[in-house]
Amino acid sequence: MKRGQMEVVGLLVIVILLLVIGLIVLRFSLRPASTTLTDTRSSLESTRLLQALVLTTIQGISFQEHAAACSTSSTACSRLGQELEDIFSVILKQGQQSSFYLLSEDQNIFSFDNCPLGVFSSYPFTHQGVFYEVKLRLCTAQL
Amino acid sequence: MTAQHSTKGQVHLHETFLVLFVIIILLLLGLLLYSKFFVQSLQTRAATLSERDATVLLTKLTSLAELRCSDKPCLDTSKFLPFQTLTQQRRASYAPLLGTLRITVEEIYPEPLTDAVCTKTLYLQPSYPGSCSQWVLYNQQPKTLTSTQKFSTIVSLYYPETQVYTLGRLHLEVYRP
Repeated sequence: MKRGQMEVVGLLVIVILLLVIGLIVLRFSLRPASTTLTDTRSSLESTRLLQALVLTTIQGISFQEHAAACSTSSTACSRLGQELEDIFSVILKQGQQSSFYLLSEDQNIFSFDNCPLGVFSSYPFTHQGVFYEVKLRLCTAQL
Repeated sequence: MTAQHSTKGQVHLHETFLVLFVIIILLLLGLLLYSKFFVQSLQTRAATLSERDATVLLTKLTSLAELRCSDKPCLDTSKFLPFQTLTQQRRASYAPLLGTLRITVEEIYPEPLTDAVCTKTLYLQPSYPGSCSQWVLYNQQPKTLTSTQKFSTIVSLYYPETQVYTLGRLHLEVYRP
């Protein structure tokens, strides 16, 4: 092998080494971060929140009774809305947006919609023979 | 002629050394980068696994018979102080299950009047449950502590004395030895 050819081979070796290093860097830096666990945690959190909310005693009356009253009276619904606003302001992180829906026999009786896209959870319950369902959507920030 | 050959040979030798030097530098650079990213990925994996463990533990805690309500998905506050005593008395039984961590519960809704930590004295006061709003259920620190990780979840708290359900937060502070 001539001297010139030897130098070209040496240069090639260096280029290949640089390429390998570049590939290693790319492999680690371009790997997308896993969001599965975060989503699972958010979903678990919002389900637990709904479970706990349905049991909560609000101003001496259970949430379930508030829901029953809301299905017949708009005044009761606005009172429930104010209480829920207080609850969510304490429970959620500052600035975290959420959407909440209360359904009675599959009819929406109360809702507020501040989060168009996020982790969604629902929790059904019955009160005095009537089927109710609460739904909650939380935007990206964690609880 | 001999001196010229010697100079040429020295130049070749220098060239070879230079190429070898560059190759070794590049290899070391590659190794350094690889180890840096490897350690970084290990740290990320450790954090993910730790978070997964904590999520499982949070779920396990909310379903512990020693803490939960008998018929509803809530935590019975009247069981908190007995649980605290139990974990202290039977540390050997609970340590493998819970590990080195601090478990606390705080009431968040309705907004508590005090942030006092519940004790037997406060529990026996007529103003209870208004006399305190936090419980330290378990606290086991390792001998050496390097870092802590905090996790929490919303729970429903039941007061059998008043038959009232409130909202609370169950906190886990996982100690890393």
